[in-house]
Amino acid sequence: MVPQAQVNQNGPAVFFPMRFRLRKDGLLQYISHLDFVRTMTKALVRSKLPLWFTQGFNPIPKITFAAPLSVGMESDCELMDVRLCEPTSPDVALKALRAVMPDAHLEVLDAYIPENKLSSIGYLAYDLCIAYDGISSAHAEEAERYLSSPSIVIEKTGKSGKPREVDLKPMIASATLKWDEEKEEIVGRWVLSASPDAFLNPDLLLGALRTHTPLMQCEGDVWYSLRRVEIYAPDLTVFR
Amino acid sequence: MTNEQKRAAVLRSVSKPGRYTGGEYGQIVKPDSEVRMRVAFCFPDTYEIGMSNLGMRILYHVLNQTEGVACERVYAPWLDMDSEMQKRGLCLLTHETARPVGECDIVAFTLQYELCYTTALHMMMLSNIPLYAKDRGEDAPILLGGGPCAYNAEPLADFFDIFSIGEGEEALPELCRLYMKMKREGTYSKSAFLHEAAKLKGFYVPSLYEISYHEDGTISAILPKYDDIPKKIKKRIVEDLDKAPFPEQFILPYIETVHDRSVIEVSRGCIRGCRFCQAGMVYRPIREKSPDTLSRQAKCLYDHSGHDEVSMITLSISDYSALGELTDKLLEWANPAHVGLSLPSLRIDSFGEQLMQKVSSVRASGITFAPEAGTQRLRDVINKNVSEEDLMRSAEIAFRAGKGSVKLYFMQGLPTETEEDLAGIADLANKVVDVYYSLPKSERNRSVNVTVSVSCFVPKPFTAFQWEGQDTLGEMEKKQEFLRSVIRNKHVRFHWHDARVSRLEAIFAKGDRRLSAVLALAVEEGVCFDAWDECFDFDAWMRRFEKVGIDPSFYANRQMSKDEILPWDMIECGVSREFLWREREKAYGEKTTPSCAEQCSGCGASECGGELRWCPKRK
Ligand code: SF4
Repeated sequence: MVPQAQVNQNGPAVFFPMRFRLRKDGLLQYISHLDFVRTMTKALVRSKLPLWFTQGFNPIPKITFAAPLSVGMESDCELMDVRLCEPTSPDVALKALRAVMPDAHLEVLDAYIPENKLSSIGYLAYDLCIAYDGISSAHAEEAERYLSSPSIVIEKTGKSGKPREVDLKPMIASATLKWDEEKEEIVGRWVLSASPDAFLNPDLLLGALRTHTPLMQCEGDVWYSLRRVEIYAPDLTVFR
Repeated sequence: MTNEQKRAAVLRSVSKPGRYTGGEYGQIVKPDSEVRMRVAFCFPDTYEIGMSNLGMRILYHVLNQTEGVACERVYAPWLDMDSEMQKRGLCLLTHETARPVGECDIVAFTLQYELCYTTALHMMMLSNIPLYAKDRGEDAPILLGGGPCAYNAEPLADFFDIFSIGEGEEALPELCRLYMKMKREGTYSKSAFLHEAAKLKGFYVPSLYEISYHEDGTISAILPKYDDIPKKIKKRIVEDLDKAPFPEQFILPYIETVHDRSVIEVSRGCIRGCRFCQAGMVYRPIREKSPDTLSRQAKCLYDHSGHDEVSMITLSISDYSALGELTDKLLEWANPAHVGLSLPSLRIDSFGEQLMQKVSSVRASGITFAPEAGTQRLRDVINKNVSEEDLMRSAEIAFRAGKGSVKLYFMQGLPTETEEDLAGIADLANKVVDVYYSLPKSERNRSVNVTVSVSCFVPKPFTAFQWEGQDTLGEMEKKQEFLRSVIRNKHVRFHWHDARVSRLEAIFAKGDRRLSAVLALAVEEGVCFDAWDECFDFDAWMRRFEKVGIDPSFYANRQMSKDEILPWDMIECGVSREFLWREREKAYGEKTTPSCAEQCSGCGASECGGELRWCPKRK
């Protein structure tokens, strides 16, 4: 496929967009979004790909990320858009960036010419897994029942500092929680809204479950993992 | 729950978990099959600070290049992480392979400042390593210390097995090879190894030296326990910096650290002989890298990092003999790559117009000058060869170049200091402001602010002032009070350092091994991060000294006599004791000593060898 040139609104310079899909997991889930951005910026510079720099006094490469990932969350689908100043094939870009990545827990999975704007993402799918002392199948059942109730209202402190009530239910496309007898863990798959005007962070939902059900209520440490596994368009087809 | 799951739960709850993950770009992990020994290289402060240390970066690289050796990094966990770990009984792990530090063969600490001692010992405790060397069995790792504080590490003598004196690039691989050889040949036991290591050049094994004392508490003798180990331990240096190993790439932290940039080391040693400055003495003789080497190394670091800034490290950049050539060479590739250059603070006397232009064409790290003392008389005493004229001329150049803020560094409590010298500090600052107002409005920045930063003098081993006592705490605080009263210009900001911190530094800087008692007590009480405001508790320290029956003023405030045996007298740093005493006498005579560029004053450092650009040929 031959990448299409696009014209920058701020000036005449022509650029070629490229999208990378990354995996970020293991210990590197504890790297904040800002640090992730800095890391990828440096990696792109090292890759020697023909980066398009912003015009002006302090030129910087133009790099855009989809919905920031919280610290302590893993992902198979971090999207990063980069502007290049020369037409470059996705295969070449993929190889160049892969060669300069820091660690196996930060892997470039794919490179392609973007088909949709990052701002038109509809949903994100998460896999989760929970373990703690005193966990039981009853906890899973009760939590799942709560998730299927007609509304899930929580109190949120708004920007003004005033608490207000929000119903999370309309932002849940689907959500399960199942008991894994063998591992003694609770596992689930949640598909949550991720559009810019209605972004549901799974941590918020976990918090609600913790308040309203016995899930994760124990004296000692709670261990859990949350992993973004797929990105969907508003019509629930895979986003590209 | 597994330990791993416990750690995961902890990482979610602590601040900046990114400092504990490892897996950074450029870290070195050797396959197990290539590893015959492991060195845990510990920096006794936070990850953010440790990651910026050039010495550790070089030695990490050097050790990992040594066949059979795997070197892994370790940093002090911050307070929240520390308490979570202790609560769950989790031990300290290395960054690269998450291995318990206590399972490594050598645990090395770089000792950068006195106030990190408790942090180092605390890290040993977190690694389940017994504190006292005598309590550690054959299975326990060898505890190695190095860095600037190793020149007088006596307060740590009872805890560490061995110290590396001087530059470690050649010494540390040698020590590791000895270790592997003895293991392979089956001749290894801890005591046999330490005895052999004590014969290597540049290694000090404190347990092999017997210290005895006079009744008044001063030292009566320092004697080696064996005939075949040296009476005096000579420091090691790297002779030719152009050939010295230097990393091709740095480890790139994920999180923001103190200096997120590439760093090149322009030179070692200093041709100036400021009489209070330890670095200026112990890094002698002066050796430089060539512009070619430096530009190549900087470019290589850039290619492997993606950094947008290169910083040049040296004690005195303007004394570098090929500065113009170096900056030109660097700018040649740095400009097109959008990479900026930064220079460390400049000396006043050589801060010329031309350099200023280069500094502003690159990214200047701010205009700072260090006159150190307020009057010419006192500047002569400390051999800071800088005149008021120099300062004013440099300030004018800076203001004309559009700079609006200037930082001036001073010290209070220097030997022979009077009230006049202190008042001179305020004077100088006022005159700098006057220089600004003497310029036409069109040729200066819109506003001016001068920051006067005054630290307290700490007498250091291996300086002309090593025999001096520090002002008492009361005197130091009175002087700060006085300075506050005389600095009354609305364009001048006064910034002072906590005198109590300086006092504790002086105690440990000039301390001997009897101080181990107070350090052990502090660590038992959970003390660490003394260099951090949130942890520093001076009164608690004084209580501890009292409890163990040590008078801290014996170390900090006592004037030592010419012939007294100093606690660090078993170490030879190259610069001779006779030279230092001569310098001390000249200080009291208010006489200056020329820089090595003008004339050699026979400090003795040329005996260490090295590429002798400044020093006369050895006989
Ligand atoms: S030997 Fe002479 S030239 Fe060399 S460092 Fe010492 S004083 Fe300077």
